[in-house]
Amino acid sequence: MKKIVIEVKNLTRKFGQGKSVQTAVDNISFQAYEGEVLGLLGPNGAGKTTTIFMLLDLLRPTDGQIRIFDLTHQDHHSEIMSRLNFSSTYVKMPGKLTVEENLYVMALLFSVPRPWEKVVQVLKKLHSLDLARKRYSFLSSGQRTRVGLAKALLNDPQLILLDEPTASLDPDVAEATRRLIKETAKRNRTTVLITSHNMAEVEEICDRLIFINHGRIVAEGSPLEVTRKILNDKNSEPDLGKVFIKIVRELNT
Amino acid sequence: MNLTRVRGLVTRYLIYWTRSLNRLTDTFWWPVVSLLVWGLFTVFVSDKFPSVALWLVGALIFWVMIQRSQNEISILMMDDIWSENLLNLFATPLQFGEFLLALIVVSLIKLFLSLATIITAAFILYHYNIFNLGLYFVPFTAALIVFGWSLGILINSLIMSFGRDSEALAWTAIVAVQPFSSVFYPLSTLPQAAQGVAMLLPSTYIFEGLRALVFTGFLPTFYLAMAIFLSALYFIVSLFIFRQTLIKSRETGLLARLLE
Repeated sequence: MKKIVIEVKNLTRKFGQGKSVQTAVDNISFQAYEGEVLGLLGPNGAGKTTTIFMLLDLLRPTDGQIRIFDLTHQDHHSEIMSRLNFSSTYVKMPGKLTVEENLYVMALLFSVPRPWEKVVQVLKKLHSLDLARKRYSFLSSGQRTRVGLAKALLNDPQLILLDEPTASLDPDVAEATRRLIKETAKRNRTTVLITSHNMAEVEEICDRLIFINHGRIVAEGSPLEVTRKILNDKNSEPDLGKVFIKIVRELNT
Repeated sequence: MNLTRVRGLVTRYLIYWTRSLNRLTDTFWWPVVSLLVWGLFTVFVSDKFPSVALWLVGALIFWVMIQRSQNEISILMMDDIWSENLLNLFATPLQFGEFLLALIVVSLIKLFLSLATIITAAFILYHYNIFNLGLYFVPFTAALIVFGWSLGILINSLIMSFGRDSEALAWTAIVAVQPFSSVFYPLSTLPQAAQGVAMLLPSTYIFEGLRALVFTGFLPTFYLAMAIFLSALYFIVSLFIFRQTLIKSRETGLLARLLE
């Protein structure tokens, strides 16, 4: 039996009050299993980031429940946070610190044993050791993305939340990153929840997908299952690009 | 409380500080410039108003204590917001108490350096020795610093509640406290209504007490007791408000908006 790492039940998040209430996440339920790469897809404003923020307890749900490692944030916040990690292209690090200094500090925040060794190890793994002594502010956006990924691996997490992990990366680095994500999930039995607008990437690395639109789950399954369901077709290959366009154009009207 | 996490944050804030001209200026330049201005004014009035002159430089040094301790707590957090790094901090096991303890440790280190600089400069330039106050220096300094932290924590709560539009409070809020604190003049100088407000601030008792000590050589224990009691009260209340703000901002979504 597959071990459940994330269990979300009837999760709802509303913003505003009275007549101006907006429902960002509308009664969604899903599970993520150990060693699985799960894609959370949808157009801008679909509720992906809101869902990730609720998983990180940066935002409390209006309704519903979240269990991570069979624990709740209310009772075991620190334990949950020490066993997961997060990376987003939209989150930066202090520019006046070098890459290795930033990562060293993050390693201490996760209480990683022998933090300097770990920093070197993750930078090597991402072929980014050359960046170690560079100030973060001098890095290109692609290099920053790699450093963000290095940060996400520092504590050998059992769950990684990745928001657009390959945005701004050169194709070869993006390919290496995808390989790393897949390897990490398979070798360490790490669960990866990933958001991306790159449908080819999603097809390549995700075992399963959740498509959300207007805060609701519109399709769930393997890339091929989602393709067949949304396109009403008996495709033999996944075609998430078409799926995405259909969801955005047709279901929105 | 995990001290490794506190060490991580303290390390980061200190590295950042040593490489930031703005922050180094806050620590060393502004206190020294204020001392120069007020010191020269003291020289100017010392013949006509010797008693005023006796107090001004000391008052400035004590004001720097409260101002720097407040500023540091608020600006350290603002630096995290400006560098778009706050999300990285909150997406770790870091706890509320550890975050605050790190802010307090860093503010104490920087305040010590600010004070060492300004006290040394006052001694060299104006032959003013603040340690002539004797052991009373210690409890008054402690009360002022704790009150400064309390204001910093309260301002951080406001920034978390109202978002980045309120970030100017990090510098300006303390200025509103100064007129009521009777830093450079006695409490009796204030209008009656303002005196009522002033009596609610520990800083008023600290400056009134210090003034009494300088001019009479005698310290009314009431001032010392009120200063310590009110500073402790403000600190406890500010911790409670900050914690509640953090919980509330998670519920309302303001924290997420601040982090994005």
